Amino acid sequence: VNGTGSAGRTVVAALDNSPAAEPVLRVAVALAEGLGATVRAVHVRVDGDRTARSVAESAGVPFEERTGDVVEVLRATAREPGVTLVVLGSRDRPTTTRAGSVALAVAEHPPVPIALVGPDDRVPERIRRVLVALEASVARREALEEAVEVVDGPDREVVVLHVDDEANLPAVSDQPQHEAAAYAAEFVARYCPPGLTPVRLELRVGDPVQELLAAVDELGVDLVALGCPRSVAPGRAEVARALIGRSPVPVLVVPLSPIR
Amino acid sequence: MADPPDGAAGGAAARRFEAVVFDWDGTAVPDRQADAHALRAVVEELSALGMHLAVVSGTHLGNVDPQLRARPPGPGELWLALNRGSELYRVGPDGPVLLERREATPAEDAALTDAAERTVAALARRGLAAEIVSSRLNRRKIDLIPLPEWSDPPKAVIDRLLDAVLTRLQRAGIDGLEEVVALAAAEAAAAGLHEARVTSDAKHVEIGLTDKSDSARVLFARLAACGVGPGLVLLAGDEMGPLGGLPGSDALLCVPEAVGATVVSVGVEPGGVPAGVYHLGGGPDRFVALLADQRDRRRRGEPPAADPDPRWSLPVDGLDVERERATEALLTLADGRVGSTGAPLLAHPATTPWVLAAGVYDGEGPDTALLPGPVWWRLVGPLPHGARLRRHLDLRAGLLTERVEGSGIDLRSARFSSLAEPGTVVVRVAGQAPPAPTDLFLAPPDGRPVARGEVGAVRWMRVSGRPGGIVAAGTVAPSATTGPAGTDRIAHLAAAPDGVPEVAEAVAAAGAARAAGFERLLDAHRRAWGARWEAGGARIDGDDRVDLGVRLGLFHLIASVADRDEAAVGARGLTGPGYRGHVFWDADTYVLPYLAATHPAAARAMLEYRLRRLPAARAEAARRGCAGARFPWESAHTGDDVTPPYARDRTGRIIPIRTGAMEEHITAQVAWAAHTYLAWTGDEAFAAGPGRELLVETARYWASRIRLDPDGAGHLYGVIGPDEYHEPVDDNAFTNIMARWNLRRAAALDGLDERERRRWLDLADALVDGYDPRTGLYEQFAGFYRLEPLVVEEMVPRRPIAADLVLGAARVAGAQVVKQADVLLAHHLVPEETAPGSLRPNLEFYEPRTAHGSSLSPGIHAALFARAGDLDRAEAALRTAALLDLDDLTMTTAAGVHLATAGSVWQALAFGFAGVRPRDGALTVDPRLPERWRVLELRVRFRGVGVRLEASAHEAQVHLDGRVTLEVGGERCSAGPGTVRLVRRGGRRGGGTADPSTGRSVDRHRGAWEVVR
Repeated sequence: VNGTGSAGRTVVAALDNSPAAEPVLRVAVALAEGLGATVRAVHVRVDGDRTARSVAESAGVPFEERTGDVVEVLRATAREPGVTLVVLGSRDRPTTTRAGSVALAVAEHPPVPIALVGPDDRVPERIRRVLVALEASVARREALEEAVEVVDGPDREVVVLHVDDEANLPAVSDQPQHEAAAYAAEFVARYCPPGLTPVRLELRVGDPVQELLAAVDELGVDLVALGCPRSVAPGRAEVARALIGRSPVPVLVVPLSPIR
Repeated sequence: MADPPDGAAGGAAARRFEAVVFDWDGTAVPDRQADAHALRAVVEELSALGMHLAVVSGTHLGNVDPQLRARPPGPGELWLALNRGSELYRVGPDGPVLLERREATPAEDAALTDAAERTVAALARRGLAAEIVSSRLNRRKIDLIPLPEWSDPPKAVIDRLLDAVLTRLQRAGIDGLEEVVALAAAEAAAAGLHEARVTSDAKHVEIGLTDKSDSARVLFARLAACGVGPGLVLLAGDEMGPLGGLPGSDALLCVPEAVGATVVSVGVEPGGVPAGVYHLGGGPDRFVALLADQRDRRRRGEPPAADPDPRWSLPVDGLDVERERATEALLTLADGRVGSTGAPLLAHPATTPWVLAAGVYDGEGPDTALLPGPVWWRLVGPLPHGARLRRHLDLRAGLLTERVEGSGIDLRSARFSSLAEPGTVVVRVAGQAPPAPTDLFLAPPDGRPVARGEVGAVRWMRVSGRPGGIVAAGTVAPSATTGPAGTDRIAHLAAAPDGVPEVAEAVAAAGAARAAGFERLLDAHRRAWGARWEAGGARIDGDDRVDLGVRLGLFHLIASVADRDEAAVGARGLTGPGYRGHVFWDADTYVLPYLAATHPAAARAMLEYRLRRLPAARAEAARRGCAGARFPWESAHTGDDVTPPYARDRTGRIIPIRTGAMEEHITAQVAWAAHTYLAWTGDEAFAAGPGRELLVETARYWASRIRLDPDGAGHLYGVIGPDEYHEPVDDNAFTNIMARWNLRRAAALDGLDERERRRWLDLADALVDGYDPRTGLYEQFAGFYRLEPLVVEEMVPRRPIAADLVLGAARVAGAQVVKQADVLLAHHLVPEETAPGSLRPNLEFYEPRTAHGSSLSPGIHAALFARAGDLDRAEAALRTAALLDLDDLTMTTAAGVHLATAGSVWQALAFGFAGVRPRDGALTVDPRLPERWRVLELRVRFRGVGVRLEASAHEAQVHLDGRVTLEVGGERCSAGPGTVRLVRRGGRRGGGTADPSTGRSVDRHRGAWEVVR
């Protein structure tokens, strides 16, 4: 993984000294495989570096140590040339279900996609199956395009999950044996860009977070990707915030363009 | 209006028209002695090229035909609208034939003479010598300047003539021609002619019963019947501008029916022209040049344009990748046999070019789906980025035009799926095409193996499914006889439900179409559409958006149903592959009534589809241990049930689908469809033969299906009603009422076995229906009142809403939440089978509990609210239904237009708002219309008689082209041909404004309708 990436693309593994450091690096390596990128480990020194350094060195990944405000340093790192993705811990304890403040702050206005990994996340050797939570909007399909890039291997699979809640359910649903298929076909035609790897659509109705978490378990995915508005501040992107805290697999937050 | 830019045709006229309506003297010919051979030649050429021409003149046939001497070969018509609006001739190869003549009654004739004499006397009293110079059909002509030097002034000296006449009038103290006309009109009124047409050409004042405006109205109606709207008409005269203070004589041609026409004047027009008229000048020479330009455009292969009339067209500017597939469904062209979506000519990833054939399936059992056929209109190459795409569907003519401009391309095309020759499809492409050496004429549907070949110049392609097959054959040829050309692609698609059609059959049909050529095919197609709108149009004047939604729905109803052989009408018709093309109760209950009332042959073809599957329906009944015939919930090729037993629903769950096993009211719906067809048509042969068989076999099924309890009450256990949120249920009121209706209707037939008849009647009487006379309510099914008493209207943010998705299927199943009209559907379909006065209480109880989670629901509720006089809610429900596809409320319009919803919208207008419905051999008329609708116009055919209703909230006219029995205000009368006027007895304007308890608009305070004797 410490070889040459295509076109100088780099995945940055932001390692701290928490139980999330090791899974963060493993996810970074797996994502870099899919992207054809190299991996760099970056550590912002606060009160030591032994855990972070050990994790990087044992994986053979170049280790860089920085100082300064953690969030500011990581934001600056994300803007460095060639950085295509940043991976960092979503929370520092397996026992919590709240997204960490650093994770949320870095995921705020990110210039590149951010993968957030929990300390006890299931981490595969390669990203084979991705679940993409897709809103019904053409402008929202960047997440899908990003997800297609990171999946790897001949058996790769992108599953698009669309959750309707009461606000966006269509007015009528005539005969379920035909209606769901017609709706699904049109959803794929609208929001899943043609020419990407074959995607499978799963439809759900209900609370988006609950349905997403249930689907992660049910479908055995390696990663959840979701498009997110430029801000994940409280009151916005509640689905993203909840998922970052509670997902049992890494969450790829893809910054979205403003709605066209 | 400003003069147009230079050019032979002149700015506004420099495009292809489909008809020219023109004045004779001064416009087409300079005088009656002029040589008209150039005009004659171009008129005959234009007729051969499919253009319609109409001469309008005040003079008589003897002054026009010998001068013009045109003998047009057709298909374009040549009409002569002569004698100042009193006569209409059609000129064919053998000369003129009189079509219509207004004949004055002896009393009118005497009044005309009296009016002319009074006018001359009145002028004489003012000191002006005038003379009655002619006494022609329906008019008298008075010469205001009977002097030898002005005996026959040419049009070119009109300004000098006008000066001379005005000088003469001034000497008599008369203030211009306006005063003369006013004086003559007053004298005509004194003579008893209150609607006299009084005009002046400066030299004369004429008093008549008709004038050029009558000609214009007749001609625009004839053009509409030929599928040509006013936006495609060039209207030419030489006296559009005012003359001596009066409107020019040709300005009379600009009637309301002509709004949208391009109006030009080739006259001198000393007083200028009114706004909206293009002044070309140049006299008859310029006019002949205009006609020659029209001829040359056709010879060059210029594609026809869509009528821009917003009431009759669906313009789509650009390609919205989100909406594109829904747009293509809305833009579908179909002929009852074959449907082709409105995907553009050039490729784009967001497009889906489908071709489907009615009743031609592939696959078995629940997997049976419509077989896609070869695509016939695509060109090679992508739609270039940055190019502007504009499509325009002309609903009047079933014509889709398309223009792509920019990025090095300027491509124009027009295409249609011939309603006159089903199976024949045509596209004309002109302009600068993308750089591609070949085109994709006849492209295989995605992923399908095809066979292909050529027979001479004809290419063919075959798609084979099981059991159906489609063969397309056609040619690509230059569209022009002169100059640089685009191409005409003319193909024929032969489709067979069983096996694959012979290639030779399609090749021969394609050859015949090629021989007919683009213009003849287009003319026949336009006329076929014109005839369908004449017989079955509807118009709401007062709500443009809903009006368009209604018309678009009717367009697809007409286009999706064949009118010969059998018509398998799937849930989305021919507008898309949704619902796999399976035939549901939608066809019998929602689609068929419109066709029975407007184009019975199509309704008959739909019934033929059921009749040919009667053996399968009998077998299914027998398999279930019953007698008679049981029709399937979902039907395709064989008539066996093809309902999928399981499905993944919108929540991702695998759910059992029980409708195939339990939604049995479909069997009564087939009988109801047959009855509906009979009620509108009175088709005795059908009544005595196949119609009787359908009624009897379905009644036998119900007779064997009903179970009697120890008390002798009849029950239907384990069914699903239209409210599919609850399944299975016992004694669904709707199913039981429909079964009872079916039994009683069959028992009324002659020649039955008396014991069987008695049994049917006894069972009908025994069958429970859940009605409680104390409350006036029907219980929707046994136990409905014991369910959780949720009122969905109070629980959801909006309706319609798919309540099973919002609340969960299990919760909804245990609650009083209704998917769609169920009890209420009985009030709509068989009101005579429901308790008198029970509509209102059931509407008040069930509607708030109805989620309208079915696209079938809003239209039916619109009808019921209208009958109950709740007009605000009726209008709101109608709007939802009429815009369902136009606004893609379901996000599934991409799979095709909801044909049953379109049918329900028509039923809301006809049965609900207009109260037009057959009953026991009479046609009831009982409009209940919102005040803001200025007019509801509805055209139907009842027992072979064309009926056109024009109604407002307080007045109505029923135009009849034959004799029928009408029922108005509970009284029957024999009426027609002619016009019957209706008013509301005791009604007061605003009488329907508001119910004080609810604030809703109601019409309960309006009186009943009565015929004006």
